[in-house]
Amino acid sequence: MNDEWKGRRVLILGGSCDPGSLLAEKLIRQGAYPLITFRSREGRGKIEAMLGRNSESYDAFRLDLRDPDIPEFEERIAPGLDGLADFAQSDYERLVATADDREVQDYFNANICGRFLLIKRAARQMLRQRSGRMVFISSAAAVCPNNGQGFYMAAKLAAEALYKSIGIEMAQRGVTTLSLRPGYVNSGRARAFIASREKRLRELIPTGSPLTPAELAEAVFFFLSPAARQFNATHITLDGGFSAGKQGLI
Amino acid sequence: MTNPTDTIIKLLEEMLDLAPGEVTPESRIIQELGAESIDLLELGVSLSDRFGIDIIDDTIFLRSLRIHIQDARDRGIEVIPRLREVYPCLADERIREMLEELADGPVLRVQDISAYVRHAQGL
Repeated sequence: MNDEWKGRRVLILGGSCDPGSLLAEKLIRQGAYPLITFRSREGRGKIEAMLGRNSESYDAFRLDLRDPDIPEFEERIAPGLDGLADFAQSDYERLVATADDREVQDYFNANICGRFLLIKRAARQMLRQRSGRMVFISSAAAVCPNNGQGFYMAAKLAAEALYKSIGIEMAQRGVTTLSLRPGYVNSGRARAFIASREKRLRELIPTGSPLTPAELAEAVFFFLSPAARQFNATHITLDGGFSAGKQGLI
Repeated sequence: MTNPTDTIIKLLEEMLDLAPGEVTPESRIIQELGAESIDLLELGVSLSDRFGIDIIDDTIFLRSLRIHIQDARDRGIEVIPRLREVYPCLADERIREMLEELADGPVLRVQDISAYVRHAQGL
């Protein structure tokens, strides 16, 4: 443990996912204090299973992008906010021409407008401190989607634009941002899909395998650190080279 | 109780790296002092913390002034009463002055921000 992380407060949105919880665990080991949000009782259970219940080493609270404007949010980040790792995302897979009007509105309201409310408050808190680092966990699907991922892609790209703008607007005030675009991550919703296509993915991904949750957590940890601040207002793809070439297509 | 004007002047001096005396209550913050959006954002956050008040950026910094003026004209209603409604912290005299100054560029002065803070404090 080096002192660089000691006492630093890092908000992990959607932190009940595997990489989010692993990131929290890593931050705790480094002496940082993660504030982790979850959406459901199941999510809370996963966090407690990983980090222990009623621990003083982290704070976990319920936050849903569909209803993010909770007074509690500003109270929790008011003592200070040094970093933000944004894993929050809900799913909506439909072909564009078949999607339900209302469902799409709700989806964008949550994943774009709801996210904006949180980002704005976090940015203003970091502005008070004149320092802060934001890492948005986007997706390689933001530029290379499967059928049905149009809305997911749109939401991710919109969020990337907001984070990028903060990095441009506020870097002079010490607030920098980065979007990461992971490819296949062997975790959560993708686990079954990856298991059913394991051989094919080994052929298509130059590094030979999808990301593990631990690899993603380590990458986010690095990109949250002061050493990574010059990666600002931009995006980086972490997909083992999957989107880089024509491997396996011929 | 802290004088908002003095606090605002001090904050602007720090933010914009200006010498004492360069910022006065009459200073036009954007037009003369060269403040940009990010400076106003930071000023708003600081004022909210110092005075414990809600800051509505659009109102305190007169962001939508021209839109409200145009809106009043489009609807055929008197401009001054409309602006009085939108900016209850500003006296009619100041509103008239702003309308005359508009042609020169952004009209926001230190005294306008001070008026907002006082109004938010109920003074």
